[in-house]
Amino acid sequence: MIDEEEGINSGYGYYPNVYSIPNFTIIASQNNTNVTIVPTIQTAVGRMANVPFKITLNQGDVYYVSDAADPSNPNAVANEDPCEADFSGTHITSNHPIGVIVGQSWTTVPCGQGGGNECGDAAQEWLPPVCNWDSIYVISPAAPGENNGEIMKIGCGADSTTLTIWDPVAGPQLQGTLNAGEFWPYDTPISTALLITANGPILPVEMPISSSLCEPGSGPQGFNNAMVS
Amino acid sequence: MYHSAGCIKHIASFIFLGVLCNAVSVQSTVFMHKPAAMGKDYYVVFPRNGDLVGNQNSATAALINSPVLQTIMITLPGPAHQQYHKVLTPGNARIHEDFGSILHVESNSEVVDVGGAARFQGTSPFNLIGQYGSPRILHQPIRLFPLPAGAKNTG
Repeated sequence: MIDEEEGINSGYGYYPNVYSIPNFTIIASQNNTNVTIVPTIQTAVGRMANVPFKITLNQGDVYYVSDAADPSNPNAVANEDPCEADFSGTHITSNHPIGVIVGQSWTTVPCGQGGGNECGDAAQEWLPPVCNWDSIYVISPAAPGENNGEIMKIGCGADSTTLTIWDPVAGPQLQGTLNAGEFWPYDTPISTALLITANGPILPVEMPISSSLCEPGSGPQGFNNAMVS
Repeated sequence: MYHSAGCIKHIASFIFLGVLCNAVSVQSTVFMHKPAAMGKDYYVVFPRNGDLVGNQNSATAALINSPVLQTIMITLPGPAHQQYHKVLTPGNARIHEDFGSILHVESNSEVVDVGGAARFQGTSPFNLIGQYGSPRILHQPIRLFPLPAGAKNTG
């Protein structure tokens, strides 16, 4: 069911020796859907970062956007910094409900050589609209032994949002103040349940850390949007 | 909790859910934020991905779970918007289908794919999971049936 009115895109890792293409896909559910997009990085056809552009879609139309490193672009430019191949913070608004899918074509977590492995994989996830984001989330750790743990990226949907993470041992820890479109990285593998609170809408996204063993299925298979509060 | 004015209908749903929960329990209420449980109307399309840099193929598939027997209306991608129906009969209320060359995998950035999303509609809520790449779910070529004469898609 598509019911999106606005969203902030979240993109992730990058394998340094292979183009990883951050992308997002917009699907319209009604005719004459006017969509405004403000990308945070240059797109495949050369639209510049932070410059809004508009499209009009009809019911069932699809609009796919990738970045300047897309090999299908004859002027493709590989990103020098793998962690910059990322549409995070891109703002999408529309006058009718739309659906938004976000992802990376070759994801490793953490991004770049810090990931320390060659075991990437495609990862895609539907993005909930900002109006469905919440301000309190319970984050549970991955099942022991299943993988290398998970890290998080916490997206922010409003200006002057104060973010606090409650650790069962350390108690509440103020992380910082964020504006709309910014995100807070939580790079410590989650080993215990966490409580995340804010004074505005946030979206924690859990990402399984990539395996160092290049076996089928060893790369991240997707993102986990924390959806229950 | 935070809710913006843009989600009034969701708030109404949450309040209704809260009333139900409070009637039977004083425990905390759980709000589902992801529209992934079940619905009656889905659009399906896939971003270009595996074939771009990896070794995956573009085969596409869908897994449909329905708690009731029903007819799923399928509107194929493309400007023609051809419609078919898929009847879920006893024994296959849960089906997996190979949509190999039917569902679109987007390939060109910033180009409108007119009617590129396939639409799946039912009269009762069902669950649909799209999948592509390798390994995909079991092969079972889709069997589509033209709409009966005079049939109308009521969504």
